[in-house]
Amino acid sequence: MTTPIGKPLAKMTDQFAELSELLAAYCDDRLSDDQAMRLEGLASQSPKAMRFFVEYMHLHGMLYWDAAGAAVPLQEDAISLLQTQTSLPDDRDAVTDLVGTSADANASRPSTRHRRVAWGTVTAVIALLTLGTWGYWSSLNRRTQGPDGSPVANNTNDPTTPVGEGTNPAVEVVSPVIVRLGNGQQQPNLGSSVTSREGMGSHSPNVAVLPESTGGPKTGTAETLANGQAPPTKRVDGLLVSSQAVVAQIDDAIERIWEENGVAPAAIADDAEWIRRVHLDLVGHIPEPRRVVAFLADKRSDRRERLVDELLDDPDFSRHFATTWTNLLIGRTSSQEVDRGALAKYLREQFHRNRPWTETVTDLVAAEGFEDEKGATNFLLAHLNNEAVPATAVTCRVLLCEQVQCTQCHKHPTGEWSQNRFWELNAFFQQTDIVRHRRNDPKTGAKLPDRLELVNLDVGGPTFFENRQEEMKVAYPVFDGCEVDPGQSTNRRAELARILTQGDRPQVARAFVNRMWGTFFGYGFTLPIDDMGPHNQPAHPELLDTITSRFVQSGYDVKQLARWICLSKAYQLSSVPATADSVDTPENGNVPIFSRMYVRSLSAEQLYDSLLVATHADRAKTHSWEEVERRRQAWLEQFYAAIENEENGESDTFNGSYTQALALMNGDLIRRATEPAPGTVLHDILSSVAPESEKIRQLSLVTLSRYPTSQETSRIKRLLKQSSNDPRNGLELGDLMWAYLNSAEFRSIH
Amino acid sequence: MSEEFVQLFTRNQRRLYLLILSQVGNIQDAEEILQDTNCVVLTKHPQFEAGTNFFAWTAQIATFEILKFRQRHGRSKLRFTDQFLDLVAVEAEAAGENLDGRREALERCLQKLRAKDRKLIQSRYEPSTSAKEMAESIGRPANSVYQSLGRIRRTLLECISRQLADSAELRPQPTR
Repeated sequence: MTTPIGKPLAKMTDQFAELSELLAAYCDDRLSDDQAMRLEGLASQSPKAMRFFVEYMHLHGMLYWDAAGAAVPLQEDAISLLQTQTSLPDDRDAVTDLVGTSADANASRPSTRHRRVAWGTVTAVIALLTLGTWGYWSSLNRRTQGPDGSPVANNTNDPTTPVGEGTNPAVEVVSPVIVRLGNGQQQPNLGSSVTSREGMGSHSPNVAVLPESTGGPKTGTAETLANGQAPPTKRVDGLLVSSQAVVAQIDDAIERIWEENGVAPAAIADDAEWIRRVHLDLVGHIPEPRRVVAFLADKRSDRRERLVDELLDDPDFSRHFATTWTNLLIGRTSSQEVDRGALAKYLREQFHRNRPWTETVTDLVAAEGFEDEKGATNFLLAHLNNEAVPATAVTCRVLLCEQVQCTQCHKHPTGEWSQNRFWELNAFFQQTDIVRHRRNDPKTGAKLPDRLELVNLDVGGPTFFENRQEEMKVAYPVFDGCEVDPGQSTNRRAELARILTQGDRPQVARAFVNRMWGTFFGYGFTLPIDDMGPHNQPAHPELLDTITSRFVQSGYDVKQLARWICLSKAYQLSSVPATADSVDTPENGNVPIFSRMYVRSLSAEQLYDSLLVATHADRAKTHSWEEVERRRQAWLEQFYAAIENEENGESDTFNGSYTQALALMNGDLIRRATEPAPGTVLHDILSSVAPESEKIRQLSLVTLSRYPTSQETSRIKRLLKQSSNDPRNGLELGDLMWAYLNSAEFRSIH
Repeated sequence: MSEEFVQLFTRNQRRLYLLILSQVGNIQDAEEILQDTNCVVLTKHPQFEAGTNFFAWTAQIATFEILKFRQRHGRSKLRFTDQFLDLVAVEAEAAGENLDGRREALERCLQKLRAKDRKLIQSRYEPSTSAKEMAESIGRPANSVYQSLGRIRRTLLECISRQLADSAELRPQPTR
């Protein structure tokens, strides 16, 4: 029995040789699509083969889960933590004295990484545990709960510390030692990043290809809206009144929805929770600590209105919205050829000057010119490949929240939309072409790619397409029942822009309202947000219609729309539901009732920018602006990959996944942020002469935008005292910051 | 949340993970889906009726989460047909019944591996390691590492089968 085994026996492998080779490829993530088909075929051949498939996969899983130490295995104590925790709902924040204990028995001095892994796991465990009892959200209210609250994570390095103290049964939880092969005693790892993340707000990148989706024909009337007039950007008295009237109207509609569903709204969010939320939603990052301090001290009754107005005028508002819309329009992984910066700059201008949304839509659809001069051209420059099929589909999906891509080849499964409709819209883009300008290399004389120009060609006539019967069909430019002259003198894209933005409640307005609402609540009126087709009726149509007509009446005033939403009653609510058994749980697939704030994950950009606000990690060394921007881009790119298909899709791993958790826990950015280099927030705090408890307060404020409870502070202090490290080197407070930055509270909007 | 529920919840984690992994293949994806499933299980825990089959209940939730995951990731993760995955799920649920035996056998088999092989498979399954990264870090060509990993897994599979067969012979009644 002690002889090493090394060569597989012939019997089994002969029988399943190919199958096991394919399975090996599958387990190591290198299976091609063809091989996947082959694997499926082989495994389906016989019950034996199927059993082999499953046993192989089970081995794969057990090797990870049991044998090689799935991340940080939890010890028995974790289970008792689970029990203690969940059986004491009123004291649910009293989670934990964090861990690290048995590490000392095994290794005299646990490495930073091990300690951090333990912190992280407990944060995750807490999030997971409390999710079950809604406690997670209540933990956000710790500030108001007085001495009941307790730290996000707390540590005891001394195994002799009595477990259970006062009413807070503290439990030792995790051994930070990663258990190696041969030790099969671990309890399951409960996961490393648990956040609520339905990710359907407009922050989430759209993965194209949702097969059964489309949009709806509208009965648009042919009234022409007087657009093009710029709405005032400054608040004037008349506007204030009308703004209040609209907010009241929205509130009425929402209250009716609560009543009809028999749901009581959550309590009003406290100011600390709210200022963080409104910053993330409007300017894309957490508030600077001094802003939080000032806001918490502000006792004026209209402080929230004032803050919204202030933020709408902040340059970061236009930056944040430009980022969001650049991602929506051309994705995060668009080709190098496209001038992403120019598009972002154009959008920043539009949002900053508060240009009517119809003007932006018109520019995006009808722009001509050089990519670097006319930023709006980059939208179509990115999507004109493949006979402008992506341009057709993306225009519908992003600007109209309609999914038409499947009607390219056949009529929509639910029958409302025909294949014609797709190609008739596509016909609007058939005059458009890309000119690739070149320049001479002064050294070699070679022609180098220079820049792109979007041009309209003087051509007319129909588009040809093939239907399912393989018959060639023609399509002329028609949208929404409006035909345009197919001759070569018509500027088809300009005509399309005109048709899109006409009427008193056009789809382009409904779609924008849906997206904006989704931006602020995490859920819009449809699920998914970009599928408002006839087969997918919106929830709460009266509310959607009310806001849409007001938005159109306002002259498509984007900031005004954002203001209404931010000042609406629903947006003021806490994320803790009024009752624990609330049915308002869209994360479980139920219709959102907006009776509380839904907890959302930060987008990659929000997370990055918030990390910089909290840590000033970028100031650790002096870098040029380009270098800072390059780093941001590089950091973001690790989460996104283009999918090579004909519809210009992309996939992301930035959704609370493992990749994200690891990038956070072990990434370079976080490492820099939690090392007290001169220029960083951590350095400033550590080198101040303030007492330790003040430093702890500051760390909580800069990361979570709130002060710690007294209990949190005392526990953290105890933990720091017990640390075997020399407190003077600052490592322990760095660890505390690390734990804060990796907490679910930091990583979500609530 | 009752103690019984907590017990069932923790005891079924591994089995649930393996059920999910059988259908998605990728370790991290499976972990992510497990987390999603756990969230739903914990939020829906009042709906669980004590005395009914806990694993079947969570497996149902997991199936739905797998579906959602596949939809969310669109074409990039759609490797197998739904019908095939249904078959896999049925088989994986059934095979999950003798997990403890298999796990113990795996431990014994790991000890029997050559030290070099044990080290290789160990580093492959370290958290957050892909086979490709591992090959890079140990400076071996990726292909040869893939081959070794495949061979070691086959070896382990056979060893487990043999171990289970042996222990079945020793006992009067086989477990399955």
